[in-house]
Amino acid sequence: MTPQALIAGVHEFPERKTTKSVLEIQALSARAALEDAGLSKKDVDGYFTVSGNPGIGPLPIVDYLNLNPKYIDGTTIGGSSFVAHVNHAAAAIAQGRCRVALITYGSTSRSSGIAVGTRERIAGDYLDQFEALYGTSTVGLYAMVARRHMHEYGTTSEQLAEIAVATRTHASLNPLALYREPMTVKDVLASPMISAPLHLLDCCVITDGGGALVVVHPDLARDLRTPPVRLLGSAEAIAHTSAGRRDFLVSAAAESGPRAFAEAGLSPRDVQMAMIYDSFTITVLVTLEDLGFCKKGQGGGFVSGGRIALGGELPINTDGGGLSSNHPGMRGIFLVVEAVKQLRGECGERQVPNCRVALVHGTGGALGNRHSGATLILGRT
Amino acid sequence: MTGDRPNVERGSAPTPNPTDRPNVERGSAPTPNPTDYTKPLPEISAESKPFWDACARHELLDVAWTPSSGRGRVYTFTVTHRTQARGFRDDLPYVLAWIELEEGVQVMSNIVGVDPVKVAIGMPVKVTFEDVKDGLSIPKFTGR
Repeated sequence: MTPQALIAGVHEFPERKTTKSVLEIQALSARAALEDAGLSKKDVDGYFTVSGNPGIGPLPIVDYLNLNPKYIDGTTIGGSSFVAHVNHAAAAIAQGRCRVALITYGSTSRSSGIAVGTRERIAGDYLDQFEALYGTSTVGLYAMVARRHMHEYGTTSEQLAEIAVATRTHASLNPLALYREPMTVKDVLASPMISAPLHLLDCCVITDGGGALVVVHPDLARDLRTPPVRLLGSAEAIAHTSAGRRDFLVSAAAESGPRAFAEAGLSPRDVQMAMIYDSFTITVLVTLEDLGFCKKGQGGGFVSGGRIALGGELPINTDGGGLSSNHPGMRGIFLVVEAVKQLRGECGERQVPNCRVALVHGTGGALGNRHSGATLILGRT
Repeated sequence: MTGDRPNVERGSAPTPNPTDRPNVERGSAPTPNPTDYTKPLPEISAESKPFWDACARHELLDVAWTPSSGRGRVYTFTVTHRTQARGFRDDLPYVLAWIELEEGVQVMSNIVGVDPVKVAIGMPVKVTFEDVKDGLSIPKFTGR
């Protein structure tokens, strides 16, 4: 079934370090996204956000915003959560459970001094007793996938660095990006080793931030302020340790990607730009392979030579990504915001020409033990 | 990922038709398989073979804790240079790894007693237990 939902309004909170609260970030973002859609708070009858840290569950936010939702979803599957929320909102709208779904996110990771990547990784669950004892960190779990990819396919640190460099070039065109100074492959390789083979500049930034999305029933198309973006296909999946027998080079994108493409009736060739969750450079490389933009193992060559930069065959993360622009801990919402702006042709200097179809893929959790993947195929109306 | 799991649908295991064949007691002698069986058959993988071998003996196996040889090879690893994990700063640089045991199961651990620059994928390792307090020992791995 083709999802029947429109993304009518988007907003990315502009500050990267803020004195505002997690609630205030979300309130300001919700107001801006609703204004963008040409709708008002009283139109909202569905509400979606994450539970847990960073970000807090739906209850206090619904209270703070003084909303009266008929449909509430607190799905929390890591950084991809907000991408999955779009999928869930579309399902709720298709079922007639709500007509105007508001999705929000807020975090003060940077001003709170949370070391998202290198802090001890404890989920507080049964599995900690088998993993957290060993000095596990988020970056370490991704680094193990990078090491294995290098071993199996000859992928190099230079190729991973190409991803960071292309993303920084895009950040230089985004006035809101945290880091905008151009950099080179050599700069990435010369940056401190965090968890080998990942260097500092293979890792995303830590920011404060947030945002909001408004997903609506297609019947509301005429009432909207800006031409909405159509959800053409969406899917999600979880990849885990598979009872101790896992190919860690295959991510959840290998499941969610093909299902989202099938729903849209499209293939990777139809996509003009992609927003790929870039917690680390290796995340992008593995995801591009699993989504079918290149064959498994050929990601290193694919990301080289400017192919993923503006002007290349498949520009990705045109906002500067988590690697250079914005990553408060759960970046999924920004992937949707930028893809929507690209499809509307609002990206100025960093606009992908004639952008008709964009792909969004969020990864939540860690590639190196368990993670979620959520894919959206979005189209211009 | 699903390819790693046994490709056996729950409930799809061949069950004798009670009208054709008498119920057999556990451990009793197997009767010959009917050759005209047309329902789905399990695609037996290395992981599920012991289960189906036991079924052929009319024994049902359950998931159970079982001793491992403690021997395996490094599946992948990272040398950690920066960490905020409690108590691990003194160990920097330390090795976090997935080990593939001889039995085919992956476990997460540290590689200890080996210079981190000498650790490589495929390196043979064996378990070593760090006795951290009374009644608590943590399995780690070292070269063999």
